[in-house]
Formats: sequence, structure tokens, C-alpha cells
Amino acid sequence: MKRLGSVVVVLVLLALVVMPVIAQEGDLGPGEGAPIVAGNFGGDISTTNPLLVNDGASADIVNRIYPLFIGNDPESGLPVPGAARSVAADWSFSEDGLVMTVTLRSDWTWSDGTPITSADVKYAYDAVISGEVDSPITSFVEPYIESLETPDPSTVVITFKELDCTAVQVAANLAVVPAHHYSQVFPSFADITAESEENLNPGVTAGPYNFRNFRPGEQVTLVASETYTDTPAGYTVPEGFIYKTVADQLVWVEQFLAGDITYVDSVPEDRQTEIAERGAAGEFQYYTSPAGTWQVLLFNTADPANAQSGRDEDGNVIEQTPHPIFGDVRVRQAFVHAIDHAALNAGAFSGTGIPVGGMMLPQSWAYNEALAPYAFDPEMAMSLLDEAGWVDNDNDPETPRVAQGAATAADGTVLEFALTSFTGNPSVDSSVILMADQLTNVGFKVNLDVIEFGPMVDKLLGQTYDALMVFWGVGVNSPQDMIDLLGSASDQPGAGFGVTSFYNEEFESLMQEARTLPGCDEAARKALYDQAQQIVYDNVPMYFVNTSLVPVAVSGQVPNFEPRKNGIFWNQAAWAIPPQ
Amino acid sequence: MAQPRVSNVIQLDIELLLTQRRSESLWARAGRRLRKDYLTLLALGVIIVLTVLTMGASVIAPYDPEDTDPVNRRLLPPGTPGHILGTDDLGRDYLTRLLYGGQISLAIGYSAAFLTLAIGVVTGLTSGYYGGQIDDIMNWVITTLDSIPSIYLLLLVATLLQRSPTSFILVISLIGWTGGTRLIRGQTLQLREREYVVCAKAMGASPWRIMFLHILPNTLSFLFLALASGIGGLILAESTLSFLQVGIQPPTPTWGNMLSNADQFFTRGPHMATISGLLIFVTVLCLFIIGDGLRDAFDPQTTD
Amino acid sequence: MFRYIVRRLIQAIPIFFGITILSFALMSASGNPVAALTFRPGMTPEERDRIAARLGVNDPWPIQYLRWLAGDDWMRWDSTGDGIADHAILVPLDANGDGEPEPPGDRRGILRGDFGTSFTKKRPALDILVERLPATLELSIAAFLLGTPLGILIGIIAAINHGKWFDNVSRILAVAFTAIPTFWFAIMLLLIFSVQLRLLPIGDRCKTSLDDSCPPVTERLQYMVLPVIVLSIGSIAGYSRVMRASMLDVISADYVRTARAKGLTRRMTWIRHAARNALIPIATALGPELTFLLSGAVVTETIFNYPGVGLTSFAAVTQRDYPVVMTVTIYAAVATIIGYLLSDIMYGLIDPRIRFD
Repeated sequence: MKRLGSVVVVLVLLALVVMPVIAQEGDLGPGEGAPIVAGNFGGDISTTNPLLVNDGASADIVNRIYPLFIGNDPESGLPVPGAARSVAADWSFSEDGLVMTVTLRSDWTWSDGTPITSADVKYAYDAVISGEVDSPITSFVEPYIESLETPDPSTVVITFKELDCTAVQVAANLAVVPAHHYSQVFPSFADITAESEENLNPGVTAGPYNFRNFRPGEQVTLVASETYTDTPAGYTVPEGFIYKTVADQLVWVEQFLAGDITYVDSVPEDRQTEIAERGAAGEFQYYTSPAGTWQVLLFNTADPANAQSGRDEDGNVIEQTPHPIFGDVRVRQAFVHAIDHAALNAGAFSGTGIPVGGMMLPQSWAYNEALAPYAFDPEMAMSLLDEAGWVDNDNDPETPRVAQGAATAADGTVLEFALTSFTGNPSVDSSVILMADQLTNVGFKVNLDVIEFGPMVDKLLGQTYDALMVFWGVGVNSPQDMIDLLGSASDQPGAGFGVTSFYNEEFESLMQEARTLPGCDEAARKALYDQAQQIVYDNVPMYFVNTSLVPVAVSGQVPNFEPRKNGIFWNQAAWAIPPQ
Repeated sequence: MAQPRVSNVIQLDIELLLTQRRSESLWARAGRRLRKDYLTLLALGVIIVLTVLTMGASVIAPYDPEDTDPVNRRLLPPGTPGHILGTDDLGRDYLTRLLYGGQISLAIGYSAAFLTLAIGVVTGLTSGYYGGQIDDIMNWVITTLDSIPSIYLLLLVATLLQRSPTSFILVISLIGWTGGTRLIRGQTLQLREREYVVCAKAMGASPWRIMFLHILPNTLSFLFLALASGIGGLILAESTLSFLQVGIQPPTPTWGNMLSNADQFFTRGPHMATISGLLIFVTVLCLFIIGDGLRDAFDPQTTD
Repeated sequence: MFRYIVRRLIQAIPIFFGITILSFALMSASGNPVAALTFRPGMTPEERDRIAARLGVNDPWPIQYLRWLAGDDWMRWDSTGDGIADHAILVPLDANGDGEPEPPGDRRGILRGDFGTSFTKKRPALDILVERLPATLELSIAAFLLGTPLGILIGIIAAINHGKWFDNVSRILAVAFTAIPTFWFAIMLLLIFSVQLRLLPIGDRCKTSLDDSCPPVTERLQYMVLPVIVLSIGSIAGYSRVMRASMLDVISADYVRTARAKGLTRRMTWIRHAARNALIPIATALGPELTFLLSGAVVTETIFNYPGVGLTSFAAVTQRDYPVVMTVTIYAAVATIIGYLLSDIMYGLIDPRIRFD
């Protein structure tokens, strides 16, 4: 009897362990899974219109209720035909590479039953090039695409202005919107505005979810679409998706730990060590993926008191007054050699920071592996400063250096600058404090200027800063984006991202060549991008401090969390969370 | 703005009370009472010690407050040899930071409270003494300023200015002076009708002389207690603004920004939050106790 | 009484204008919003000039103030119905000098309820305030209903037991609670009661669900417990101190002694005569208290993730969303004016010596 009793106990225990597993394995039908709750740390959404979306929060919603024209493979991160939630089933190029013919799938309809056709792409294209819609898409397609035609409902023919090796990426910027619905609610393109009725209450959508409502300050509610099939399960499993506003990171993380939120897609720096430990102990699922951004230090190479454009109206390069300190490349190099990356990593990144040398991220095909991150070498930093004419005139390393024969500043000028950054990000807060301390050791005088994000953006875009710390990035697999940050054409105070006023003729011609290389051979283009990165590395208009691993924590309730290298949440619409 | 009228009988009552007590000078009696109020004396002692310690930070503090070393000294616990109170997340000595931070926090509290009252005294005296149109305009300004919740004014201004201790003091004083004005104005309105003031006026004393020599000394007791609780309130306000990310800019330490930074390290560095929180609490508590004690000591109505 | 209220309201008009001028001055001092509003790769200087001309940011500031206050649909208008402005007063027809008139004015001004459109949310600023009001109001009213009576009660009991343990403990606690930074107190409550003990929800206004709205207040009281405690702790401490001091003052007054002489019991005297008169100073404190509660508590709402006015106005300040900031400021100012008025009326109701004449 005694033995039998213990067998029963063991069986009961086993059943307790196994049953949840069985329950999880059991197929949940369409919309039968518990809803996914995600925290929104970025404030209320501002639009649900794919043509207008310009902020992360709105994009998180748009990406769940509208189709893509061309989608990426979750593993490689590169555009592929037939990707989930995309309408492009296949494409081909003409011999000269100028014409791209895209074949659309025909098995998908909008939420009102109307088939998704080439007219929906055409409408979006016409809208963004009309000049009447304030769309961020415009600048990505208008300079490159000559025309877009739709000979039949399942074919889109795109003609490019010149041979473009990034043609597929350019085309992937196009949106797909319900043309039949939009042409009714928007009498003209000029009516497509954020002020319209449709803006926060989309009438017709297509995606894993349908829009239900937006409760300002509280949440955006989406419910499972019954017609979506692009998930591993063949349908949308969760009953819905709730995008709830969280004002404070403490609450965000604690609500996740308490099971109120399904996942945290970027664990705040100050909780990373703890969350990693608890994740390793099996409390929830934990995954780190390479960040799509670097923490970057931008040097203003031109005089902040006289911000000018890189080129005049006729396209000629404008000679700008150099920045009194950072106008000299040796000072920028000295700056970089003075930074102790190990200290930054320990103090600001919980050890997750990854030093980088090139401008592309390490996970990119175009990353230049040959570029070693700048070494921490205070001696080198000081000798570079000596060489540049910034000397330690009183042999007191505590006092800042002064100019004595410097090329960009009058003798006696103190080696002093403002290091601007923004409040609210613990990693940035800690980084600039550490940097300021390290720079002081080699003779800089650093005035920290930690301001609100908005004013920081003003200084950045207005090019009125000295040095500025921010998180930024170019598309992981879009090396051509480098020209947007460092090309003289985008150096327009208040209007362009070329905020460092860096100008290098060779860099620009390399970038142009890589874009239009006949045959678009990947290896040949990589060689060109490698050279371009080498130039950036040597001239340090930007110092890529590091990139990092973004820790993601997902509830143990999700049985099929299967992150891919370039798509952590690729199968989210199939997450089968057991309903309560 | 017309105030609700208080009947003359009550006014007379107050006059009577005040004259009755004049036998023993307000100051002598307050001093006598304070000497017996051990709690207030203790609080005063704590504040004096804290002030002396923090003002002498550059002499006492064992390290440079901005010297970082997160690789070797991150979040050391209190009691670590060389770092009695441990280190913070960037490896800075916590005792040193607290001393320097206290210097800024207390300096902000003292100077902003003083400046606030100074503005309040001048505006309150003139407005109460002259009355008429000057008083009307002053009243309009005060009511207007008071009608905008100060947190919005502070936030608005904080996002406009460099967040240095000096601009912080200026901003707080420019916003917060109305309380002092109300206080002094009320007192002046009463005092200017007193016989001795009327006499001085009849003898041809200049308005400034009357205001500062005859009226002001009689309001000093109020000023002291307003000062004590004002300083406490300002230290709290500074920490709240730090929490809202618009406090004093790093790397300058203040108790407020140290506390709001520490709340991110509850799990790994609880000593930071505990120590800085306790320091703010004790300091503000002592200041409030001093304010209470002074009020009791000067209050003509409480009996011994 | 009615005449008194009307007179006070008329007196509030110059104060209202004072507030608008001050708010507007602060907004103007913070710089030109055009750069931030118009950032977009490829934006040309001409286009930016055109937007600046339409917004009128280069007009002299009295004109700008007038536009904000009273709108610009009467400053530049179209009388022929072709959509092109043909008449203008105060402002030039063609502000940027490009030879074409600017579009007709479409602002109605705050006096006519047009607070402008939020820069970041592209919706009317007034809507953004109004949709956040219920959350703030439910917290404020609860905090008011809890804090005021409790503070008054503690003050009365403390005064009755003058010098005994209750008096001493309540006095010490009252000082101690006002000496804790609010955010610290709130975080501690959250960590202890919600995170550690799991007794209460971790912030939020209601349970997260696919429903269209939060259930009625009565079904989600547990969400209000902590924020209401944090909001009311200050008024409990403050009122108990004021009430205690005021009771002790009144008790020595002649009429209380007379009442005692008439043979009323000690307790009856306290409640009937002393407490009522001791309430007078409380009435003066009610005005500022109302303002504080109505304008939304930035810290409390942030920590408890309660979607009220404080949270949205704080976000607006940091994002420099001026239309929203101005809307909230004007709202808070009006709430204050009403608060002071109410406080004066209360004053009159409690204190028989005051006549509204």
C-alpha cells in the first residue's frame, strides 16, 4: 500500500508537470489564445495611417494592421518575395536593371472583403509623390523612382531614374493602403492629414489584427483578424493585441514580472543584470539580440555659431568655417583615444556594450571587419592634442589645455566644449558623465549639457552643438544610408541629417559608385562600402561608441517564442498563450 | 481685491492681546521658550552639523566627487575599506558625493528661501505700507502668479533654462516670492495703523525708515519660521524636479538627483537609495521641526 | 451672496488676462516652434518661410498674443469665396513677400474655445485635456473626500487630547509625512504593497482587457488605493496640524468659556462651538487645495501610470507641445480662480462674522 501510495503521488506530480505542457501543445484555434499585452513607453500613437506614420509607437500599430509591399526574411533581414504580411509574391528586373516588375499575390483581401491589388500600391505612390501629403515616405522614393505603373491588378512596374543597386530597398519603402476606401474618405490627396477622421480610427485594414479602439493615455486595442493566414499556424492565434501606455520604466518591468504584460522588448539598462539572472533561472524567457543602433558621438566639424548648408543652390560645395575645436581631425582623434570603453561598458551598459569600428553594425553584410575599435590610449590622445596645438601650458594635468598655434582657434583659447545629450536614458546619462571624467584627464574641459529630448533634437538638426551623444543608426542592411548622415547634400541646418557638416569628396564618390555599380555585384559593392567606412574611421566625424545587445524578456506563458536573428517577434501572431 | 471684512471687535481683540504681552519682549520670551524646547534644539543641532560638514566638503571629502571607475568600484556596498558609504553605479565614492551634494542642496535651499523672502519683504512692505494703486497692482500680480500651479511654471522654466544651481535658485525665487509678500503685506497692513508708526510718520520719518526700522523688525518672527519651512520645502522640490528629469544637471551632485538616480538601483545598490533618502528626510524633518518650534516660541497666544 | 459671486467673477477677469499674458510670454520666450514643426529631410527654406508666415510666428508679439487669444479669422479673410484671402487688418496680406497672399486665418482663439492643435498628437489640444479629466477627477475627489475629513478629525482629536499620546504621535507623523519626497513615498508604497505583497495592482487605472473602456469606479477601487493615499497624505498632515492649532486657539476664546459656564459638557462644547469656529482657517486652505488636486499630480500619475491631466501635461512640457501646455495652464488657472471663490464662500458660510456686502 505504501508503495502504491507513492506511485500515485508520483503520477499526480507527473500529471501536474505534463498537463500544462499538453495544454500548450494543444492547438489553439483562430483568436483562441490569450491576448498579447505590450507596453508602450513612447507616448500615445499619433496616427494609424501608413502614409503618415513617423514615430515608433504608431509604427508598432501600423505594422499589425496593414500589409507591407515588400517584406524581409526574419533570418537574414533582407527583402524576399513572399515574405509574411507582404503583397509582393515575386519580382524581376529588366536587362538594364532600370525596370522592376513586381507580381502581387491574389489571395488576400482588406477587412471589408475587397481584394488587395496593385491599385492599392499605386494609390500610395501617387499620394506620396503628389507633394500634397506630408509623408516621410516621399524622400525615400521620390528622388529615385521615375514612374510606377499597374498594367493589371496583380502587377506593379517600377521604373527607376538610374541603375540602382538598392532598388529593392527603395521599393520596399512603398506602402499599401486601401485605395477604394481612401478615395472615398479623402476627396483629394491634400485631405490625407493627421487631422482627418480616419487618422486614429481606420475604417479598412488588413493584417494579423483589426483595429478596435484607441483610448488616449491608456491603450490601443487590436483584435484578431479572421482572414489573415501568414502565420506558422495559418491564422492569428491571440484574441487580440493590447498596446498599453506605461509612463514609468519601473512599472513597465514590474508589470511584466507580475504577468500583466506579455513581453518587454528592451529591458532598461538598470534592470538588465537582474532580468538576465532571473531569466537564466527560468522565471521567464530571455533573449538578447544585436541592437539596430549605435550609441554615437557626433562632432560638429563646422562653426556652431554659423551653421551653413553643405552645398549651395547650384550644388556647389560651400566652404564652412571650421569648429574652433572639432574642426581639427587630430582633436577628434584625441577625443576618441581618451575614452575608456571598458569603463563605459561596465558603468553604462551592464557589460552588454559591443565596441565597433565601422559605421555599419557588426551583424550587417556590409560591416568592415578590418576596422578595429579605437584603442583607449590617453598618451596618444595627449600627444595628438600637443601636435594639434592644444598644449598643457602649466604642467597641471587638472587644468584644461589651451591653444598655442592651433589651426582652428586663436592662441589662449581654452580646450572647452559642451557635450550635449538628452535626459531619460540611463545609459546615455551614465556615458556622458564617464566620458566627461575621462576627457578631463587628458586636458579637455567638458561642460555637460543634458537637456530634454526636444531641445536636443533642435540643437542637433540646427547644427548648433559642439559634440552630441545620441542613439542612431543606419539600416542594418542598407549601407547606402551612410550618405544620409555624412553627405554634403544632406548637410542643411534644420532640414537634413548631415549634422556633422562633414565633407569628403572621396567618400561621396565611393557611395555614389556603390549605389550605381553595374551588375550590382555584392562583393564589389562591399569593397566600396569598406573603403567608405575606412574614410569615416580615419576622419572621425562621428565616433561610434558602441552598439549593444538588446535584452528581450518574454513571459513563460508563451510556448512558441522562437526568435530569429533579424526578427525576434516574427511569429508573434501565432503565439499560443493559453487562455485563462 | 477686497478681502472679506473682519469685524472691528475682533481687530480690537488682537490689538489688546498684542499690547498685553508687550510686558516681556517677544524675543526674550521666545529665547526662554526655545531653551526648554529640546526637540527644536536637537533639530537645530543636526542642521548646523550637516551644514558645516557639507560646506567643508572640499576639505573633508576623501575623494574627487566626479572621479569615476565603474570597472573596479561599481556599486561597492557600505563598509568597503576606503569607501565607508560604498560607491555608486559609476564607482564614485558615495560619502564624497553626499557631502558635495548636500552643499548644493542646502545652498539652493538657503539662498532660494532667502531670496524669496527678500523679494517678499520688499514687495510686501511697499504694497502694505502705501496701499492704494500700488497695492492693487501687486495684488493682481500675486493672484495671477498664484493661479498658475507652480509645478507648471517650474517645468516650463526648467525646460527653457540651463539647469544649473544658480538658474534654479533664480527661477524658484521668481516664482515663489508671493507667499512672503502675502505674509509681510498682511502684517504691514496691521502695523501701519499702530500708534508708534503713526507717530513716526507725524514726526516726518521717511517711508523707507518707517518700513525697515519700525515695521520690519516686528515681522521678523514670521520671517524666521517662513525661512525654516521654506528651506525644507525647497529641498523637497529639488528632489521632485530631479525625479521628473528637470532637476540640477549631472554631474553636479545634489541629494535630490542622487535619490532619483538611486531609485533605479533598488536591487543592486539599495544603500544609495536608503542613505540619500534618509538624508533628505532627516534634513527636511529637522527644518520643519525648527519652523514649528519657532512658531510656538513666538506665538503670543500659547501659554507657557 | 449672488451679487458677491458676480462681483468676484468680474474681479477675476483681469487675473485671467494676467495669466494669459504670462503663459504666452513663457511660451514665446521658449523660441520659435517652426524649426521643430517642420523638420523633414528635403524641407526647403522657402517652404519653411511659408509655414512660418501662415503660423504668424514673425509677427510682433502683441499681434501673436491677439491671434492666440481671439483668433485670426478676422485678421485675414476671404470675402469673395475663392479660398484666397483678399482682406487683412493688423497683419499683412502677404507676410513672406512672395507675391501671393497667405491663406485666410482659421484660428478662432482661446476665447472662442480654440486652443489650437497639439504639435505631437495632431488633435485639438482641448480634446486632449478633456479626455484626461475623468481620471484626474476621480483621484482628486477620492483624495479630497478621504483627506479633508480625516485631517480635520485627527486635528480635533489631537486638540481634545492635547499633550497626550495621540496628540504627540499625530503631530510627529504629520511632520514626518510632509518631510518625505512624494515620489519616494509613492515608489515605496508601490514596491511594498504591489510588488512584494501583491495586495494591489502595479499601477494602472483598470484591468487591461480588450474591452472598450474602463469599468465604473466602484469596480476598480483597488487601483485607486495607493494613488489616493499618496495624494491625500499631504492634506491629512496639513489639515490635522491647522485644525489642531486652530482648535487650541479657539478653546481659550471667551464664548467657549461662556458655553462651558452655561453647563454644556466638555465634549459638547468642543464639537458645537469650538470645532465650527476652528474650521475657518481650513476654509482658506481649501482654495489652493482644490487647485492642487484638480491640476493633476504629475508625480503620482507618473508612478501609478494613471492617465490623468498631470501625466499628459508633463509629457507636453517635455515635448514642448505648447498648445497642450497652454490649454492645461489656462484650465488650471481657471480651476484656481474657482477654487478661491469657493473657499471665500465657504468662509462666509462657516464664519458668521463675515457678511458679503
